Amino acid sequence: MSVSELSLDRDPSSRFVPWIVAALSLMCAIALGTAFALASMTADWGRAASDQVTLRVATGDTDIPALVDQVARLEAVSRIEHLPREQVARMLQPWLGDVAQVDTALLPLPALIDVRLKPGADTSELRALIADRSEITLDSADAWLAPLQDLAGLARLVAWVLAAVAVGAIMLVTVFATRSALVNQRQTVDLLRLIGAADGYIAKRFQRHGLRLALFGGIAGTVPGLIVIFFATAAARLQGAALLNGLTPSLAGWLAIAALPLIVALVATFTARVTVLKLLRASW
Amino acid sequence: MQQQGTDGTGEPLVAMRNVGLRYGTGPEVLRDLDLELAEGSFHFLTGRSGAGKSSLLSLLHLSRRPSRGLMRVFGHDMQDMPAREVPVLRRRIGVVFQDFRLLDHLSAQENVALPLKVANSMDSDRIDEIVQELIEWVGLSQQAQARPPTLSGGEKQRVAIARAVISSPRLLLADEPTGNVDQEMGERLMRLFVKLNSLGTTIVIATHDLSLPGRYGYPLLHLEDGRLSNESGGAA
Repeated sequence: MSVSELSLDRDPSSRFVPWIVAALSLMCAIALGTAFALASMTADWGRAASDQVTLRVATGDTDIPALVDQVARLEAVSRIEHLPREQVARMLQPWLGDVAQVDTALLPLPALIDVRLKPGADTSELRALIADRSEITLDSADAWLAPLQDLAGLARLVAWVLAAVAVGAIMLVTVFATRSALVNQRQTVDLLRLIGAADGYIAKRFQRHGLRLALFGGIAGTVPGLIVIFFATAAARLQGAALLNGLTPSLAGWLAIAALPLIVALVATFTARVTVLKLLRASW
Repeated sequence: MQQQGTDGTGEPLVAMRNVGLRYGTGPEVLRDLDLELAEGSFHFLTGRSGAGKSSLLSLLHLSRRPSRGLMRVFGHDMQDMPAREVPVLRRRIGVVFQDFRLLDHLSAQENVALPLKVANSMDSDRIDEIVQELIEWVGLSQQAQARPPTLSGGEKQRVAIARAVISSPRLLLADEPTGNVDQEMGERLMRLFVKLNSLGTTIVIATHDLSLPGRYGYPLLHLEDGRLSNESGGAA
């Protein structure tokens, strides 16, 4: 008695469902991959920016070694380095050309002091120290990074919306396919009800069918999605821009994307069940 | 119109008071039905085409709720019956359809087993055992694995009867069970129904064949324009 009473596998309305679910799963996987990769990248930016600041001291008679000593003694500071004048001059190479040809002594170069803060520490101590010293400026990445983080946040939001739209579309496809299958199988469904089948018994047949179709479609869409995410993020990192170094989903992100077929299958199962029960309960 | 006899509790198996049925917003197809079917009784339901026989059967096998009036089945008021409880009552009613309604992709044996399978109340070995007995009882042992499209009209009818009785229903409804078979097969099927009735099953047979009630002598329910007429036998 293993044969199902409802021949849903031969239902013509289900024929294209796995492929539509596969396309939507691919879109969902890429959107999730983008969201998770952007989340990792911005977290990376935040870590790098929050623990590294630069003190820029204008040319003058400031006692740099004394300043370095003062700063090093602050609770929040883990490491400090006064950048050599030659290194500072090299930073100007894009504008001055080969600095070896230039007498840098004539240039009013500022002294740069690279300060690393302890994890979780903020710059309040440092800002208090230099508050009344107008020749010293504190440069942090926050100022230019904030708009980029806002932009990345917006891109993440768009990616999440796309993923949600894809899941919503999968639910809609399941609803339409289930309704069509129910119409095509109406006589059999009516017979099953007449001989005493509970609505839940009939719904279970449809939800199993929905689960099979969605699981197949989910796998068929997610696997290429994972490959696309892997190569796309790797290609972005290979561009060499330091900003893109963290552009890859975290391990939890990869696992979440890999679990997409199961999520899609559960969504389709639930949707098919609710659709069938709602339609059956409309009639006695 | 009260049919003779009730069950031990004094309550008829089915009772209708002033029952009407309409489809959607259309006119009433059944009107002012007063009917009682006692446990263990046997009735023929007759009437011209369009008189409402199928509609009355659809009320009796709980496919529809009455549009008005009171209807009690196995002691339950149908007006207040929640939809989720109806399947349990339907399992106590066997139905033999005029067009058999067998599932073509299942074997005869699998079709017969369906009511027990959907009731989910016994294991598959026990179901197989009962199905084998029943298939033998209706004389289809050789065709147990055959699919309905390969069976004759009489064989299909016997599969449909086996399916209708496998749950030991208290009420068996048959719509023109002899309409699609030759006279000999019709007699054999009628003997099956009489045998079932002798075992305690209440039986209602809808038929166009007006000679059947005369031959078997059971009470008659005659429908005319949606009303049970005075021709019906056993009237109170």
